Amino acid sequence: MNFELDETQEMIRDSVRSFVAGRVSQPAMKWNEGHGDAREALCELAGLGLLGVLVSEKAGGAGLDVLTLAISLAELARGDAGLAAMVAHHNAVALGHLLAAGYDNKPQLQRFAQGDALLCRAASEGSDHLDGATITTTATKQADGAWSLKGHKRLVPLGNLASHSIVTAMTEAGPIALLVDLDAAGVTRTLSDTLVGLRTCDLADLTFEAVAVPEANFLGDAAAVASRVAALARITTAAIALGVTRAALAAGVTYSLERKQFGKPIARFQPIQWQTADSATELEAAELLTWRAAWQLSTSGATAHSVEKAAIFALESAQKVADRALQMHGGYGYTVDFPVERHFRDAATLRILADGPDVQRVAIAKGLATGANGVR
Amino acid sequence: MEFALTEIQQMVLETARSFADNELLPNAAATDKTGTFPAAAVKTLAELGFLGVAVDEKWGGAGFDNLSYAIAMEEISRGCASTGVIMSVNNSLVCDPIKKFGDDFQKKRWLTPLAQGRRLGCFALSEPGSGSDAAGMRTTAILDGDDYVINGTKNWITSGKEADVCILIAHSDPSERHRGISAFIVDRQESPYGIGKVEDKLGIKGSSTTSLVFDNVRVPAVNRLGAEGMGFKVAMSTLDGGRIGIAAQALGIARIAFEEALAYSRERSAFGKIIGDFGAIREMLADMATEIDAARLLIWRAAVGKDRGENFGKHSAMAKLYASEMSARVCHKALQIHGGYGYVKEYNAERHVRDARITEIYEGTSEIQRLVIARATQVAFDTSQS
Ligand SMILES: Cc1cc2nc3c(=O)[nH]c(=O)nc-3n(C[C@H](O)[C@H](O)[C@H](O)COP(=O)(O)OP(=O)(O)OC[C@H]3O[C@@H](n4cnc5c(N)ncnc54)[C@H](O)[C@@H]3O)c2cc1C
Repeated sequence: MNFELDETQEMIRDSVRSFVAGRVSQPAMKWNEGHGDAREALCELAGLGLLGVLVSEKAGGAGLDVLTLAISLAELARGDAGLAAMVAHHNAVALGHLLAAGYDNKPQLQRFAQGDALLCRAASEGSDHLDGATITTTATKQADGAWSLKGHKRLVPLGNLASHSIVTAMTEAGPIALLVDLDAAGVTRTLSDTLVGLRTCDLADLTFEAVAVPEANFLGDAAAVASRVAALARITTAAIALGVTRAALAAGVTYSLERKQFGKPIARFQPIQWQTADSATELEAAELLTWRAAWQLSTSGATAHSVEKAAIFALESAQKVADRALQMHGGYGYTVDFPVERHFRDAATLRILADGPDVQRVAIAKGLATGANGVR
Repeated sequence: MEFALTEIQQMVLETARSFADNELLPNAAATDKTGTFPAAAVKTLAELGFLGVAVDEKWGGAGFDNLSYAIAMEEISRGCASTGVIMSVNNSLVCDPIKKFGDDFQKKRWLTPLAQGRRLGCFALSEPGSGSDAAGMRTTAILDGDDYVINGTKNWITSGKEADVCILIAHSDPSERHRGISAFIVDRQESPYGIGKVEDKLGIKGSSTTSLVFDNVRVPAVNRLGAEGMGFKVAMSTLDGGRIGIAAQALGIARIAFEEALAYSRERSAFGKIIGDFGAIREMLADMATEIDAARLLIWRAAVGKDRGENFGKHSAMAKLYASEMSARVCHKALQIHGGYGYVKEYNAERHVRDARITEIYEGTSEIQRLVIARATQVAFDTSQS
C-alpha cells in the first residue's frame, strides 16, 4: 500500500499544473462564456504528450497507464473541466476504444496519439442513453465490401473538432463499431444544445446519411469492448470530478478566510468549518476511490465494481462540495464574478460524460446480489 | 501509487478473519446480552499477537505495521465490537504511547507484558466535567519526594474494571492549562486506585466502562511518561493513532451489518419478489458497499501515513469522522432492510446500530474531528499565515 505519486506521475502532474496556471485559469472564464475556443490549448496539450497518454510509445503515444491519465485529468479539470472532458474523451473513450479493438493502422494511430488529429466516439443517440443496447443507427455491408452508415448521434464530445469518429451501429449480426472520416460525404455536424456546464467542451450532434465507410475501418464487435470503454469513461469522469471538487473546495476556503462578518473571517464560524471539514474529507475519500480503481484498471483489472463506486462517489461529492462552496460565498456565489458558480454548473453536468450514478448503483447492486462483488 | 497488501498484511487479515468467524461471531450476541467481558476472546487475541500488533518483537509485540493493525481491527470488530474496543485501547492508547514516549525501563516493565497480553491496559483522560475540552481536567498529580500524589476522578474508562495498567493524564501544575499536564503509567498492583461503578451502556456491552478514583494515590516519579508538562501532547498524539483503531472498529461493525442485510435481502420476499430486487433496497445496498470502501481507504491512508512517520493527524481525523458516521448510516439502513425483524433481538441488526453509535463519540466526537480537519484545511489555504 502506497499513496505517493511515482516520479513520472509527479512530473506529469506538475507539468499539467503549470500549464493550467499559465494557459487555462485565465481564459477558462471566457471559454465558458462562449468567447473564443480552447482549440489552441488542446494543441498545446499535444505537446505535453497528453493526447496519446494510453497509446504505446512505439505507436507514437506516451505509453502511460490509466492512473497517470486520471491524475493528469484531475489536475487539468481544476483549471477547466470542459477542457479536461475533451482530453478525457479523446484519450480514454475514443482512443481507448481503438486500442481495445486492436486497431493497428500505425500512421493513423500516430496522428491521433500525437494530436495531429482528434478522435471522438459517437455512441449515444439521446433517449437510449441508459441502455446502449438500442442502437438505431445502422450499418449495411455493400457489394464492394464497404459499409453504408445511416443514423443520428447526440451530444458527441469533440464532434466539431475531431477529424474522425468511432461510430457504433447495428447490423444484422449485432452491434459493431466503425471508424468514420467526419469529412466524408453524407456526414453533417451540428452544434449541440448549450449545456448547463462543461461549456468549454466541444459538443456536436452527428448525422450520417448513407456514409460509405471502407472495409478497413471496421472495428469489430462493439459489445466486446463496451465494458472496457465504459470503465474508462467512468474513471476519467471521476477524475474530472476530483478536479472540480478540489477547485470548488479551494474557492470556498479561500473566500471564507477573506470575507469578514461580525468582525472576523467567516472561516472562524463553526458552520463554515463544518462544511470545510466535510468537503475536505469527501474529496480525500473520492480521490482514494478513484486512484484505487484507476490503479486496478492499470494493472490486473478492476474488481468488485471499484470503478462504479469511485464514479458515484466522485460525481456526487463534486456536487455537494460545489454547493457548499457556493453557499459560503453568499450572494457573490450566485454571480459570474466568482468561478464558484462555474464549478457548481460543471459538477452538475459531469454525469453526461458517463452513465449517471443511478445506473452505476444498479450495476453494483447486481454484482452484490450474485455474490460477484463483496466488500472484501 | 499502489493498492496491494503485502503477504504479511494478507496473513494478518486471514488470521483475524478466521478467528472472528469461528470464535467471535458465534458469541457476539451473548456478550452483548450478558454484558460480560469477553475474557476467552481477549486471551486468544493475546496468543495471536493482536494486543501489541505494531509493537516491536523486541518488546514482546507482533512487530507488524499500523496498516496490519487497522486490518486486524476491522476484522475483529466485524466479529465483536466489544472485543474490538478492548483491542484498540490496549494497542493504540496504552502500548503506543509507551512505545513512543517511554524509556527502556518503562518498556521492559510494562510494554512487554501489555503487548503480550499478560496484562491489560486502560487510558484515563476524560473526567466527569471534561471530555472534549480535555485540558479542563481537574485531576492533579503533585510531586512529593520521589512520588507523585494523585487526586481526582477519571470517567468513562474503557476496560477500567479489568485493566491493571493505566495511562493517566493529570495536572502536575494546576496553575497552568495545557502546559501543566503530565502523563503517567499507573500500575494498579503498585499504586492501587479505586474503581467506580460500571456504566450501563447503549452498546459495546462486553467492554467495561468505569470511573477511576484516585484518593492520595502515590505513583513513583519514574513512572512519568515523557517530560513534565508534556502530557497533553502525549494524550493528543496518542489519540491521533487511536482514531485509526476506532475508525477500523466502526468499519468492522458496518461490514457485518451490511453482510447480514445483504443476505437477508436475498431471503425475504414481498409482493412475490425477493426484496433485494426492489430498486430502493438495491440503492441502499450499493451505497453501503460504496461507503464501506471509501471508509476503508481513508483508514488505510491514515495508517500508512503513520507507518511512514508523516504528520497523519488530519488523515486519522478524516478516517474516524467518515468511518463512524458511515457506520451509523450503514447500520441504520441494515436495520431498515430487516423491517420489523431489524427491531428485535432475534436478528443482530439492532445491536449493530447500538454498537456503531459509540464510534461517533469516543476518542473525539465527530464535532472535534471536524474542528481538527477544518483547521488543517484552512491553514493549508491561509496565505496570510505563511
Ligand atoms: C463507552 C465510552 C468509552 C469511553 N472510553 C474512554 C476511555 O477509555 N478513556 C477516556 O479518557 N475517555 C473515554 N471516553 C470518554 C469520551 O472520550 C468522551 O465522552 C468524549 O470525548 C466526549 O466528551 P464528553 O462526554 O464530556 O462530552 P462533551 O465534551 O461535554 O461534549 C458534549 C457535546 O458538545 C460537543 N462539543 C464539545 N466541544 C465542542 C466544540 N468546541 N465545538 C463544537 N461542539 C463541541 C460535543 O461534540 C458533544 O456533542 C469514553 C466514553 C464512552 C461513552
